[in-house]
Amino acid sequence: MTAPALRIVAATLLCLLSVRGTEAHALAQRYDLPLPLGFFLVGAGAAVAVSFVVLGLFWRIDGAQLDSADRPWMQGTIPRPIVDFCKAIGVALLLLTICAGLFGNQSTFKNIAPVAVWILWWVGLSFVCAFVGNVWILINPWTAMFEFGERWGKSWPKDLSLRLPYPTWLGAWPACALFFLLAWFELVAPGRDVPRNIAVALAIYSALTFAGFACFGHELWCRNVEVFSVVFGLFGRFAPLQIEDNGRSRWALRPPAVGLLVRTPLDPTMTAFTLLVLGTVTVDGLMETPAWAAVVEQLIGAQTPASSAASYMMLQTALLAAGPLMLALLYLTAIALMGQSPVKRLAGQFVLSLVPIAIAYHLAHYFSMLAIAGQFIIPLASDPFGYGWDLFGTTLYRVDIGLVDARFVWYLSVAAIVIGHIIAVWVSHVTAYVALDTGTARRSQYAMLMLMIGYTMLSLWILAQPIIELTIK
Amino acid sequence: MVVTLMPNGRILRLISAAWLALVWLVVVFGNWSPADAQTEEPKRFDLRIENDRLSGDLKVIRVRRGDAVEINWSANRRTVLHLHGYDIETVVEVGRPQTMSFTARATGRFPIETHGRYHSVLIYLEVYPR
Repeated sequence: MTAPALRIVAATLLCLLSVRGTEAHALAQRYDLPLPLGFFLVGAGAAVAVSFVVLGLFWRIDGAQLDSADRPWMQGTIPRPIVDFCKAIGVALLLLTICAGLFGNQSTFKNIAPVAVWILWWVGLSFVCAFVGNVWILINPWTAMFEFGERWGKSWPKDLSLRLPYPTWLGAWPACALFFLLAWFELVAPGRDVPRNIAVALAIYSALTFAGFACFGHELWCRNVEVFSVVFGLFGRFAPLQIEDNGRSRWALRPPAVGLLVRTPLDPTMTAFTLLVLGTVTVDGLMETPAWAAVVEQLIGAQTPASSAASYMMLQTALLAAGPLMLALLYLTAIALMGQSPVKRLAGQFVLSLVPIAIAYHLAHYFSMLAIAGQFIIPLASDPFGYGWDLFGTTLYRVDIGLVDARFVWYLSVAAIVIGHIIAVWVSHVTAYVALDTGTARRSQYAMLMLMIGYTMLSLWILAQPIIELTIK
Repeated sequence: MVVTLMPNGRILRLISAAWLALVWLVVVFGNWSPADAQTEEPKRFDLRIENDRLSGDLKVIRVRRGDAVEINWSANRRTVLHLHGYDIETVVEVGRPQTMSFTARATGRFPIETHGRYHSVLIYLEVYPR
């Protein structure tokens, strides 16, 4: 494309997205206090101690034990009316969010879209998926609408999709790209709190998803491209409730985290996706530390105000890309140090063992934000468009910023981080026994444990930093 | 069942002991008591804003939960201030200092921003648990 053409495209895009960089972080009313030194030391010490206990008192596990471990405790079918109800709720919420964003009041806290998308959907639902079960399968509005079309459309063929062959080499790469884009929208993009931008993005994404369903079928698309299905599916492996919906909807109750034990390794693209998610979770916290502010100051401090906003965005984007790459590099080094081959297979086998550390950090980082900013949904439910309605009589509800006490958050953070670390070490340990022979299984764990200790320490360190907002003029 | 995956009894006991030790440590380290008792006297802070920036080198206002807090603001030009969370907005005019006074009932870290053409953080208020 020529330069003028590019400029026209850019101008159109900017018109579409109303940029209001001044309201960055508008959703934050209260930050957590930094984790005190005592809590930090206890957490760090416990993580190291646990790692060495596991290494020292190395116990043996065989395949039969693994089989009994992930056999469900209870299972059953989810009644059809419940499934239909969940799907209807999902579709209704998506439509409400898009309409509110497009036609409602454009102030962040007078419109339901920002809180519904960034807090309830993105943060809240990932907690539900990690600690209860992958309910996204039931409420995914796009599959719900597509299946509805297939079920009730009488004039067209039952199968709405063309079932084109999906290139196998592509795997989950499209989901990786979409996740990166989503993280960029969440953490970097100016105007991410503007309701209309959110609605436009959702509408575009819906169109893309329907096009994908029509070409390749929704099962394939949800496995490889539909980023919410892939990421909530990843978190859902940790959960005690396993939910499936292929034709018949089934549930199974199993011990938590056994979903992270895999017999067949993840394929390389899913391994990459997992590392991308884990790296992004950490980068999210890093961007609010004084250390990062100092780096930004060093690099762009001397520039003129007009250019510094753009270069700040570029710096953030660079960090967003560099974080996951760094993690991938360290992880592959740890796998290579196991001295076993092939690295590709082992990388796919062990990657899920890092997931509990990320979930623990995510909980510590976002718990109070969900509890406090999530309360905005109470007044917004009564007035989703910001027109001054009062549907349920809750419009005057005031957010209680004292709902979660700082000390409680500290205990929760340290407990979550230590327990997450223990589970991670356990998953890696069992995986080593399943994937490798007994002699090398123990030796394989040295590098993995070093990586896990490092990852846990980084999480704790971020939690011990005072959160700061960067204002770039 | 997950039980079969657990190590034998000795290791299980060791891990439980480690857990108890951990809980004990967290309790000991976590529950420090504040050195000073709660005072009736409000905690006062005098802050001066020069061209949208804070003069002096106070970086964080630290108080404890339940403290009465008084922040006195003066500025060399009209400045709109917003304490987030507690949601207190004050307009400081030249030569007319203003006071934010409130009781620190909720713990946390709260930005105090100037709301002009840009929102930028002047200073943070940190309310620690007792």
